[in-house]
Amino acid sequence: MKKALRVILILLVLVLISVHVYGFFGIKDASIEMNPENLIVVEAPDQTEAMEHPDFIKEEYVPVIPEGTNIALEGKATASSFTQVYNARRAIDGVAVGVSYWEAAPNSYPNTLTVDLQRKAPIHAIRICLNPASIWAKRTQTFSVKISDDGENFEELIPMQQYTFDPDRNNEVVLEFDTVETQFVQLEFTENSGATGGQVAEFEIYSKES
Amino acid sequence: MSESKKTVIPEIVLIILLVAAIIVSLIYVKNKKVVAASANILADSKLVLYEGPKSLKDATEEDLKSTSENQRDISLMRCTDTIVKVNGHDCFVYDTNVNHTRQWVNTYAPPLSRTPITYFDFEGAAVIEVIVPGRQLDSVKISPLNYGITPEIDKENHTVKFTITEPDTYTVTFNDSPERALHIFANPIETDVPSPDDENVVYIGPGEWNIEAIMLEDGQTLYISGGAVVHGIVNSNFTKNVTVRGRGIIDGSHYKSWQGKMAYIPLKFDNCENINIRDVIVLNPNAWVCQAFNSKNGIIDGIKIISPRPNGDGITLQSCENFEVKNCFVRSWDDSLVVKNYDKNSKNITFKNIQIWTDLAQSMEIGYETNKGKKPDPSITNISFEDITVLNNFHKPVISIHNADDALVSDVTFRNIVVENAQIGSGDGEEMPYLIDLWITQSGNWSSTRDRGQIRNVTIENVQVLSGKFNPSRIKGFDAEHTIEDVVIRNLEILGEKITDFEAGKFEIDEQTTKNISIE
Repeated sequence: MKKALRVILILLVLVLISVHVYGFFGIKDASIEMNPENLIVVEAPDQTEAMEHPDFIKEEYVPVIPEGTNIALEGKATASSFTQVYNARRAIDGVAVGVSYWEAAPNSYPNTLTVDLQRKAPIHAIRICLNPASIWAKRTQTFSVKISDDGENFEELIPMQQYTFDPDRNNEVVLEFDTVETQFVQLEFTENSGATGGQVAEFEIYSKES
Repeated sequence: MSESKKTVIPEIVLIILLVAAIIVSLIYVKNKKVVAASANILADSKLVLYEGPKSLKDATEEDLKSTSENQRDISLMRCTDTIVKVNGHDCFVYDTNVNHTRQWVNTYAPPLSRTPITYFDFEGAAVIEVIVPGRQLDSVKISPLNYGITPEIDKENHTVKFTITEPDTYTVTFNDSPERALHIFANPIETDVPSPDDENVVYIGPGEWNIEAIMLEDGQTLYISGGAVVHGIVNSNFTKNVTVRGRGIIDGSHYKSWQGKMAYIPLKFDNCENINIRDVIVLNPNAWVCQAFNSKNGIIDGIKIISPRPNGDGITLQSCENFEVKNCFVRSWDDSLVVKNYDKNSKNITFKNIQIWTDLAQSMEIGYETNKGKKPDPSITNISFEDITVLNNFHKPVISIHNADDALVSDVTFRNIVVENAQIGSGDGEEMPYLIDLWITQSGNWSSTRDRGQIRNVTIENVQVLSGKFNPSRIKGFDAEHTIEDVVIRNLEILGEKITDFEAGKFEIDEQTTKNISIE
């Protein structure tokens, strides 16, 4: 009996010592330190004010303004259709920015935008503009140019072709041609990669006769 | 008593003492192991911190005044009254604008306040210390409440400390006030970062940048790095396979309020296919924030939005199909999540695992415009909102379908919705102080069609309001021909009370214009 108790006592002492040894050496002490290798700090560049991002700085571009006077400003504009508030009048108001533009009703090609110059006049160039802001992203539009003396019977001046409007190049397309006399000038659109209908912020028609 | 018995008794006592000592030691070792295990998590944790732009101005007391954008500088600033440390390291804190006004302001220039935000990436655990030297700490709440985080509050040192192990957005609310609540965007470690050398990648590195507009083309990825602040907008029209991602910020503070004229939408995707918008933070736009229109197949994942200005809807999907919106944070001064028809029909849209803080208008809204394009056979179908936590709603319904045109709105589910603080009906929200509002109406502001529509098959289940007001709810069609039918409300609990009948839930149900409405 006495011997058995002594054996138990020794065993218990050994267990107690083992538990403490494990607790002391087997378990790392708590610490709130991170391993420095697991920390990344993404540094900010030195700057004292917001900078223009180099990838988005536009090269200087000088708009192409044809010789003569834009006589469309004195005309009247009509269109085959328009969407929301973007009616034909906005295309000849001399303002190419903001919400001053014509846009045809969605998915209603062909779309026409016609300017009645109010009189027969010699013209030699037209300039089609979209808003030059970057938000008017690069797009293509396919259109032809037609002219008419009576507003009913149009003849083709420039055949249907695709043009690129690029905000880095002022979102403008300038077409020059031999001088013709006409009262009505019409654009007929069949495609716009940036909208569901033709769009024109300014439809400028140039004459050397003021 | 014999000699041997005298010896045995002390030995038995010794055995008992030794057994007790072993038990105590085992408990000590177990506790030490638990503490050490959590410390090991921290030791093995990863952390990515992003320095903020050095050009940002320090916010002064003057900058924190609640006033209109015409009266103070509303630019994004470096926060100076709230310090955040993560695992002992300083984390940059931004000071952005929010809006505590609870009514529409016709001048488009409501008073704006400010609030701090911060972000970092981590894996494992993050011990977050928030120090607010000038503020008395009576109470602190860490949302979402379902994490059950009880912060250590050191009132003397104005410090709050808590540990997180899950990447998510955490909001620290002080003294039960929405003012100067801290939003912490604790992201997972970023993987698969695009290369700046990839020709299809538009890469914006750290720093403060002015960019008029980033117009994405087919197949392009815009990456806005953590530490970047872009003053500008990101748009894409008629494109396919476009991605926006990164930890950085798109900030609209430099734009004047849109005044109903010129909205600079920070994330705008019209007529697009296969778009993927991830992770970026959007602050203080001059109108609404993330718009997709006539687009299909979109994923919006993990974006964070704080919009304080008029018409500042958070995520607005207009005539879209097959969209999945998930893991986002939206704090907005107009509808937080909204689906509407401006042209084509909307269908197959899921909002999942999203946190919302609605300062004005509705939290989850379908409508009012359901056929602004006046199309034949208009419909909005198969829309779901699941696992949504509304931290606060201060104004109009949390759950709403407002059919103000002639569309059929059907197969709509609101499931697992937790409203932590219901303050619906504040300010001019008192005109519709409903928790749930299903309504067919004709609106002078929002209707485009003469005819009215229908609402069918709506399931609202597992909705809990944890605190705030016990708001009523409304289900009301237009007339006998334009009705709301087949609505099931299941497992609704308001302020601890299980709602099993309409009266107990303060429901206003128009019997003339509704059919088969049930509550379980």
